[in-house]
Amino acid sequence: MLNKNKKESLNRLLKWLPYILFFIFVFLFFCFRADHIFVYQEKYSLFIFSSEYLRDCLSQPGALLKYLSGFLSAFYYYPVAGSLIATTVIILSIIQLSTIIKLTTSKENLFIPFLAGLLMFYLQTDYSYMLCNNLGILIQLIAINLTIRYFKNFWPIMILPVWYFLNGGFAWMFYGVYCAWLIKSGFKKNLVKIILTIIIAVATVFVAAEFIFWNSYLTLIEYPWSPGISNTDNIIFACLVLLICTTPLLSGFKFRIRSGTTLKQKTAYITGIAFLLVGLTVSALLRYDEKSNRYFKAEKLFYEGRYEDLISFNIKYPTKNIITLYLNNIALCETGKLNEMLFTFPQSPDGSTLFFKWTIENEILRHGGNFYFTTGMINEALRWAYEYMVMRGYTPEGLKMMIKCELINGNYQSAKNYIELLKRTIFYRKTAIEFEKLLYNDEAIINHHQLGAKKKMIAYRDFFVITDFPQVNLEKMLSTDSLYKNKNAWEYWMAWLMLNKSYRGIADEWFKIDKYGFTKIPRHIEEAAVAMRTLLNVNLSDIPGLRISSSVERKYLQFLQIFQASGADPEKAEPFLRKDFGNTFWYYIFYK
Amino acid sequence: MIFRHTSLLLLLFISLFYGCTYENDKVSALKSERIPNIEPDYTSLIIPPDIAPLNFVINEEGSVYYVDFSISGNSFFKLTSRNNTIKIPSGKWKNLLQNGVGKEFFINIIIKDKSGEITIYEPIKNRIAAEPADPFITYRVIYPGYESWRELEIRQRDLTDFTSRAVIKNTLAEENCINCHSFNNGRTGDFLFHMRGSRGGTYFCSDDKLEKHNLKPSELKNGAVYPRWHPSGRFVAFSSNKIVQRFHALNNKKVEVSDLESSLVLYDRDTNEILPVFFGSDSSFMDTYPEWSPDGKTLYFCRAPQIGEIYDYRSIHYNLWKVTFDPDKRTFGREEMIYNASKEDRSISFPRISPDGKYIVVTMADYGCFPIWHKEADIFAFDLEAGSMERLDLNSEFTDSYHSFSSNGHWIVFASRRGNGSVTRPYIAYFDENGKSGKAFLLPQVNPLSDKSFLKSFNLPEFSTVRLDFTPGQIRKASKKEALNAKWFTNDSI
Repeated sequence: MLNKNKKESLNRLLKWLPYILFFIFVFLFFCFRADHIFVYQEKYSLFIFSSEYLRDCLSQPGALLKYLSGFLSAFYYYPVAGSLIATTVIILSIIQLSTIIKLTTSKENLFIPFLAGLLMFYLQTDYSYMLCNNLGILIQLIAINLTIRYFKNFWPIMILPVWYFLNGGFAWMFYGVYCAWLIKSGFKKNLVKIILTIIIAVATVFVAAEFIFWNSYLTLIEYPWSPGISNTDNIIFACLVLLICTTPLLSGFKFRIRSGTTLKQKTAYITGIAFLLVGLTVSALLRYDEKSNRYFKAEKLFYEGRYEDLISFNIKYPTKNIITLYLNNIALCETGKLNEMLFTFPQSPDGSTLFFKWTIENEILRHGGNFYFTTGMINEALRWAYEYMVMRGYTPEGLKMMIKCELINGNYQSAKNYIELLKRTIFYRKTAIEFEKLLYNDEAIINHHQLGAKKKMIAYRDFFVITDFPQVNLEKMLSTDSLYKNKNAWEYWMAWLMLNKSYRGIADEWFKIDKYGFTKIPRHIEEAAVAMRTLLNVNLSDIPGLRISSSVERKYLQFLQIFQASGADPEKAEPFLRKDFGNTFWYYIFYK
Repeated sequence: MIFRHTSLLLLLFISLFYGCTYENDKVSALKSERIPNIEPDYTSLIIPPDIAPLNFVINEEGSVYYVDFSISGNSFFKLTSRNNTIKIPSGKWKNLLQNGVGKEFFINIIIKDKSGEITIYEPIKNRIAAEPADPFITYRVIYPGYESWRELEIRQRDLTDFTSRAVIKNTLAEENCINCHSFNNGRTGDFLFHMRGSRGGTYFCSDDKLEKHNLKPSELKNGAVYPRWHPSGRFVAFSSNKIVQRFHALNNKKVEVSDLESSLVLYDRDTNEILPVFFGSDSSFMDTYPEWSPDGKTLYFCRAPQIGEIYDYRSIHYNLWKVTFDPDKRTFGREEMIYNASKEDRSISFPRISPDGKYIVVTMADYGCFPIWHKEADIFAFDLEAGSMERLDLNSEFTDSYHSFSSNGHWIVFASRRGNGSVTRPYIAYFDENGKSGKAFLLPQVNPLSDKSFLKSFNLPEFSTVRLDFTPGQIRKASKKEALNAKWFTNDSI
């Protein structure tokens, strides 16, 4: 008896082992190697409990899916929850698929379900592959499972238009599997149903496109499927759909390794597990995207306001990504280190690591306003955030930026509208309540650590923003800053002058160092001053209380000595200079 | 007065008797000397006899709200609500309007608070005009953004109820931008709109046919922009503008849209020709915003001196001009200034003539030709006979702009930012035969505060008597067709 129980337990364990292994592997991978997916997707959208959000979902087929995936994606706020959701969706899909196979063939077949699961996992490792894709698959599989069990009449065909409205393009997957099942159950017997399904499907799309929904045929057929970045992913998705749709037909085949020999159960089981683990490992290795992982981690640190951590992160994991460097420069500026550490990180001579020219390109538009916010050009920061919202919809950071800008500008009614939206989210309610306390309270805003500081930076005279040449805006901003309140804008202006190797500009700004409240000359400005003295014979006047440090003077002498020791040959000297002086203005001047 | 107080007491008695769970033996009633604060502000209005129910929210503390609608002391219907939102049943409202045409009606509000104390407010007084408004308002729904767009739609709202339908949406035309729509004075089925982008063109709708035209022959320097239909339906006058958009660094104004150059052109639908209004013009002026007189013999427009390469945008002032037109010969006479706004350092835009031809209602701002982002922009009526300009009572401290007359000339619908300073909403006001306006009121909604949380603008509101019934398929078909290219016509072509 005991043995029998043990055997049963063992059998149960063996039955569920592939699922357990799959779950653990995928969950751990998402948790520790691909959590950036959830960081990105959470920041890319915002689920709001509002009639407008619901109306937006209902405006085209796929309403249920869009709403549900929007809701679940909100929990990506915690990447662990994201990992759990994404893994659960895949594992449930595998279970559903194996149940469907059992229902249609009365046999166990794990190959197709796990192959489908593997493909779903592979696709999900791309950060742009949204939850609605795998969730759409899962919902269709649950529906087909229920249909096969309980609805063998004409109901599934009659509800096609409704099902299509709820699931959009994913409904075709349901009807694909449904038709395959009908074929499997008896082609001739079910011919009427199959033909009826096709006719109603075509008619539904036609009516939707011509009379109801204001979308193109292609959008109506596909939506809410969100294509991946690469074409390969789209092909893999198409294969996955095909595999699922034909499952009732394929699952009847037996897999043989040698002609005439069916694999023995045990061997097949072990081989299957081994294949599964190999498949998962290969997928994970192929899809581990370290660059994206670091990029989104840096972005997360930025939006959490952890500027020091961001700078340390970028020192630990050097990057050439222009957006990360741009965010890093903002962090440097906000911590007063822009002209201390600018050249510690790669910089682009055209200024694109400092600020972005206006564009509607997704990522640039998403982040571009942060530079303007940091430098006190609040209207422009608001404009970028607003334009992004218009183009891509609400996002947490975009909405927060709009609230902050409207509060600073004193447009309390607009700020209130945005706060109301933020309050109706799951994880940003607290932040919204904090903002709410600032409404109609000028004094509270002035005393606010961030908003107050920005409010004080605002220009005194209006000007038109030049979106193609952000540096011109800095110049215009500073020309109105007669009381030297906008230290951030000045820091950026100096950084721009250095990137441009504009000694003249640096010399012109030299006397403002103490006026902007510096108690020590920023290192790169010191380096520029020393270089000017020796290279151009320009002696900058003394600034009361501020002196160029002797260590910088000494370091410059060493720089020149190494240069001369290499026969004054820049190419020869470069490796030596890079090692010790790669983070200086002098090295930038020589080699960039 | 006696009438009103009697009805109030009657209302109080009836409502308390079976409308609520009032348990105290003593009723303490406070008489407030003011009207209650309601939102939207539907007080002291003149309203059309065919308007949808003016649902509102009472912004006063209370646990039960009693509302009585009466005319000349006769109560028409009563509503009791445990929350402060008053939604008026459509049938009862229609009955009230039908019986009150040309009369005043009163909204008597009594509020019971949690302690059981009753407050009787002064009645809200509104008047039902004899003249109906047009049954439809067409407007564009758009984020009040700067230069980006994603989903745009032109919607038509039935003024007599709350139904609103999308007439055109850009989602089926590759998300192209759809803009300036125009009816032929709202009285006919002649309608047009522009679309920019891959499916670009000007779409004309007449006799239920939708056609795409390209109104930019190579000879025309800038595209056809702001349209006005000639009353005959044969011609459409357009301004042809080179527009620039710039963004203010400071808060008081967000965007400045101005013309670098502009001129007027006439499109002849019969011949598919486009011709300049002023042949051989020396480009010393910028002409824009055409408007036809009801008889079609005069074209009004706004004109400013042509700006140079370097200019101060704050010094651009448009004046109101007119020019005669012979529709048979397609010729224009000599232009003449009829109102010099620049003398007052002001600038005119959007001239719209009343259907009786007596008044031109314009938007006036401190400068420029795009007052939609000018907080100081207000709507004025210019008396064509007296030559006088008067600010209308419908204005607010925020932008009031882009107005349109109803077909009988007694109603003006316009876009106002008075809600939150940022988004525009359609407001309606009565316009009388003496060129005076009534107080403006917000287009009523089922949920009276829904406009507050909706962050898109309703811009370019236009009255119309005609319901537009495009299907998505029709628009798709028209947008996919090749545009019919208009031919350029000059004197040399004769």
